[in-house]
Amino acid sequence: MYGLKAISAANGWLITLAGISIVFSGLLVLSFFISNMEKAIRFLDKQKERIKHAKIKPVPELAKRKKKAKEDKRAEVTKVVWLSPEQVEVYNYYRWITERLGEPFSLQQLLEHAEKRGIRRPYYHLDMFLQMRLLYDAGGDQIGFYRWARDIEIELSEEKNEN
Amino acid sequence: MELVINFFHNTGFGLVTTGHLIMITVGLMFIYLGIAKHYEPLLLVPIGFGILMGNIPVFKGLGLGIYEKGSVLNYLYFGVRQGIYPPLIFLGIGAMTDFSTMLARPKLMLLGAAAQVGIFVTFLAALAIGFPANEAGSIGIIGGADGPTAIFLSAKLAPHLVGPIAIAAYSYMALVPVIQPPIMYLLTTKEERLIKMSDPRSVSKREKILFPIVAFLLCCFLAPAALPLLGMLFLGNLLKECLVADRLAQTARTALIDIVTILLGVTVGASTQADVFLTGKSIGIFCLGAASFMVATAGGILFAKLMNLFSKEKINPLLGAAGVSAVPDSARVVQLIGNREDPSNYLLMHAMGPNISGVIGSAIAAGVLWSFLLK
Repeated sequence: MYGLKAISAANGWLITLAGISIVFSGLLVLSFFISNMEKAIRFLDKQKERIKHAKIKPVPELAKRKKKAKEDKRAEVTKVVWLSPEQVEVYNYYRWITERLGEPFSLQQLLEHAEKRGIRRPYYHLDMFLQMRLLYDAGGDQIGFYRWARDIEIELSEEKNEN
Repeated sequence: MELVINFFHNTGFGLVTTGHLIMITVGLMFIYLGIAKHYEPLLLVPIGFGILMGNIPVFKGLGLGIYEKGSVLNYLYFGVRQGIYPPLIFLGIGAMTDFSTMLARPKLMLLGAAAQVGIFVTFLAALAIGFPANEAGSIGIIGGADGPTAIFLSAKLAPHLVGPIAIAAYSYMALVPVIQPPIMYLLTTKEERLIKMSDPRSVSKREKILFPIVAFLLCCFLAPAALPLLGMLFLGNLLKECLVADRLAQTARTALIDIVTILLGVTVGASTQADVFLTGKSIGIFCLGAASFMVATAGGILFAKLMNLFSKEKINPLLGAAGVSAVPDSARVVQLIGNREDPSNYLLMHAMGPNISGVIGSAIAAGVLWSFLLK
């Protein structure tokens, strides 16, 4: 059998129509989800933050001590650095990588790991952290190796992206 | 003397036919294209050598040929017959693909869907010229421009056609820089080709981690038959993005995909034995395959033009050509054509979005065809 008859006999029109519809609707739903994913994540972050601030917990003795220790540690902090959400994310990944590398670490190694893991603009962010003095040269016989500054606290700025 | 003559008749020189010589020439051409022209060398070199291996004339019954039970090649071919290799390749592709360009501009995903029209138009054309439905589905998937998907579906629907379909799919994928540009010029104006795309937004790591999980659930709930391909694709991508399974991602995108590519290439090549491959059907498959590539390219471009009628931010219609999932060749062709018109126009990054969504779209289309046509 040939031609339109063969197509109709094999349910060709129906399969084609269903196939195109399924492929389109699948990718349409996916694109809709993706376009709203960022908003959803930001919304959830805000909610999390709000719940964290709104909660008033009874402070038992142990928690009191912990809170005091945290406040003492805060007192040691001499500087607060405000970072955009993207910078905070990269900062957290860099901290995560260096936890595995151990301090002091080489910047080259850090960049290699960052590139391998697909972290966005690793050189740019590392340069920015160096300029903000979030990282400092260990000096002495470890010159050329770096450590994270302990006296700086990171705060999230509302600004989405600085550049 | 009789012993010597008998021996001669059992050698390749004695058993060789014109078909063998034609196929050996095809194999040599594949190797030449891979090595000298750099057309998909990772695929064409093993496939080309596989064609040579499959077309050495051997005495039937010695257990050497790929279709002879118990032969080494037959065991290796098991991975193709049962559709084992393609999902493993998808695992590696997932582990090496960065979905951020697609996540940054999700509406370009629709171009990847539009280009899949080529699959279904070719399916109809194959039915119309007399191919049975299962074979027509396998031929149509060539339009997806995705070798592993084409092999996977034809192994399920028409195992006897795996060889010609795989060879057609990979040949046309290698010829993307030749097939696509005339269609791109034909369907776009100079002004359209000059459209510049704005910079995509930055995509957070959390989005990249969430995407493979949600995309897998959405796509596989919709087309469960795409599970083996999409499951492995998104698993590979999750391994890459989650950071904590870096060793697994590293293996998937290097050693594993390389091993499977060698096995797939050699066995698909070897499955093109002259007596099985050189038939009228193969010629039909090659003609329909070329048509499906053209229709797929045209489908993507025309849909981009259609989107421009309704959207404020204009899309360069050349991006539609990247909807065929020959990753990353079709995206490279888009960059090349766009760059030729305006050297300051960089489209590669934008073309990767439809290109990757084309992979997802063709896997869904394969799942749909499989579930409709499996007897």
